[in-house]
Amino acid sequence: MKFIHLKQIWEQFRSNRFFGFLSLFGMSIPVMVIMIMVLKIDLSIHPGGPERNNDQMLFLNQMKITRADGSYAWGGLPVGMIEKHFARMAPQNRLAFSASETTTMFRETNALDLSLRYTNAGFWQVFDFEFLQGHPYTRGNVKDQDNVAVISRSLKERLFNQSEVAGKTLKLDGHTFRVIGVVQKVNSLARNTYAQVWLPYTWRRHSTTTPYYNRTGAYGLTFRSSGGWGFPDIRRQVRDLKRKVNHLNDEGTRVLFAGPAQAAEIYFRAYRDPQAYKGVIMSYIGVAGKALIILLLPALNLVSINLTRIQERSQEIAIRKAFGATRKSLTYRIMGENAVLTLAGGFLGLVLAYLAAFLFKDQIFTAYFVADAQQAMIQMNYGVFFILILVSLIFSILSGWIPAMRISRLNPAYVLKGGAL
Amino acid sequence: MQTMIYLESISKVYQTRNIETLALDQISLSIQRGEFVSVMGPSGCGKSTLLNVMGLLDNPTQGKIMLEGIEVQGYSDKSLAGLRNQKLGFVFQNFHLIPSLNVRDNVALPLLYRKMANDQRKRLTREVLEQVGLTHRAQHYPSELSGGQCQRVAVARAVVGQPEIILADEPTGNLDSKMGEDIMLLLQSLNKEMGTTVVMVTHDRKLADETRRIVHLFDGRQVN
Ligand SMILES: Nc1ncnc2c1ncn2[C@@H]1O[C@H](COP(=O)(O)OP(=O)(O)OP(=O)(O)O)[C@@H](O)[C@H]1O
Ligand SMILES: [Mg+2]
Repeated sequence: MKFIHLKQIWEQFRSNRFFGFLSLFGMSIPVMVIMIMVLKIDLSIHPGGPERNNDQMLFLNQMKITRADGSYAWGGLPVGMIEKHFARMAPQNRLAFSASETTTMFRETNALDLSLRYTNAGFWQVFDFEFLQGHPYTRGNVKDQDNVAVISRSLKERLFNQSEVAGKTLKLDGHTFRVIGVVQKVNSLARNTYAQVWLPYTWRRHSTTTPYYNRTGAYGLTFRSSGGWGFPDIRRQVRDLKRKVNHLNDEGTRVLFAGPAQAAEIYFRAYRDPQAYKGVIMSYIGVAGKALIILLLPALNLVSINLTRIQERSQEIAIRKAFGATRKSLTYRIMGENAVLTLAGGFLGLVLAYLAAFLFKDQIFTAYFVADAQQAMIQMNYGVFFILILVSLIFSILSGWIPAMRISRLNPAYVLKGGAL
Repeated sequence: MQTMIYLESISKVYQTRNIETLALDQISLSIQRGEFVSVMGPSGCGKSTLLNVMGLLDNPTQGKIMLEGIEVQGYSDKSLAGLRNQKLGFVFQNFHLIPSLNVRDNVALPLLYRKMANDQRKRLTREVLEQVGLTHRAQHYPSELSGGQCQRVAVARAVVGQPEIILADEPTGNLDSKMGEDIMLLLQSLNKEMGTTVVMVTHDRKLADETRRIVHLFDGRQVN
């Protein structure tokens, strides 16, 4: 397309701002809504960072206990159950468990709210942390309840500036910890790994007075599969384990595990009652369907705008035809105008989505149990954006094509005398 | 002399819901290259219809049209567009400028559909705007112009591509006699110097007399 044609598209837009903006916003708002929707799902299922390989992982973060009297309790898993059963079932470097907490660290001049995470040693092998300095703690450290801690880069920068952390200490809840490692900042949407300080789980106070098998706890588990230890093996072993635990329980008291499940399953289940949940694939189809419906709005909008506008512009088109425009060039022109508007609207939608994501982080992410939504790192899914733009381009081109073909077929004299389509 | 436009028993019937209007009735006409022809006749006698048919903007109901000895019936859309663009320049009775484009872009319209360098397009547009005395209005939009100025833009647009045939439907209708005379002079000079064939509809006897040939229409028929 010659530059002058683009210029005239701009003139066209300028001379009819109302329709121009209508199609522009008609396009950008749905794109924004879909991008935010996708952002939320995508970041929850693929938070990246240490959880970037979560397609090899199964998660078991919650359990339910029902009792004979009809009462029930939901919660994490108790540490006793993990130590007695799960730790024995899984290969040492394939099982991670951790519990998160927040605490306040008092410093000379101010107080810092911190996210803590108590973990086992396998945690560092199951997840792919990027160590900037030092190293993780070992099984020995955990067993002996050594005063060791791993901290995030952002916390290191706040506490120790740019210096090396070797020999530095950290005071938390009255105990002093040696900083033995610094890891890259973790996205707060990575719900199984996020923290600013990681400590051996043996530091976590827990009541051991009640039996481990009929109480809920605070821990979440992650299993990382391997060639010889696949998802079916893990699932079967957990089933066996549940049977064993239930044997220990009183008549009528039963333990149920919400898992082990993959990240996507956990995300989609969280929003649905068990009856409505039809599996990960159906959930994705549901999301795509929703997006399509949202996208249908600008498509219909474009079609109707095109139909009314083409009527209005029939004079212009007849004039162009009288001075040598071919049917083809007119059709291309109208479709080109649509494509330009669609592309512009799409990119505007992406910008709006970024803006909304930064302005409304809390509203977007806190609903899904994320502790520090403000710390969420936004990463748009450009694959989805590309598909959106492609689909809308097809819609918009088709919506311009039919009226364009119709009008470009007319004889100019008829239209210029005021004849209708 | 070569026949530029040849019409053979052209009829045009407008079919509306319950009446048929015979706007052109068996018109046969042959116009030579370089001729300057006026078309006269009372309102509604079919002058505009005749011009539209000659300009390939409308299809006749019956009859044969030849341009430079070639029959145009059955030409593809692309060839027709090419003929309109290269050979024909149209001045519409009610201007028909594009409201969203300024004067310069309106005038340059026929050149847009030709393979032409930007510079050349700009130069041609500038020259023709000067000829019709609208250089100072180049950036204005049609809604900001008087009827006479619109008329001159329409004339400029018709002549900018230096077509071999100019079809002008009352090009002086909205102009005072001085301005009308200027447009007439422009058409005459194109006719004399470039050998452009001009067919002009007019109600003005004085202007018609300045042309070599007058075609009289009455009720869709040619009368002499
Ligand atoms: N699209 C149309 N549908 C029906 N009838 C039409 C149409 N266009 C023109 N006519 C009729 O055809 C006849 C010729 O019209 P045309 O516009 O050619 O007249 P004209 O000679 O140019 O008149 P004027 O001098 O007023 O411009 C008129 O009777 C008119 O009513
Ligand atoms: Mg007329």
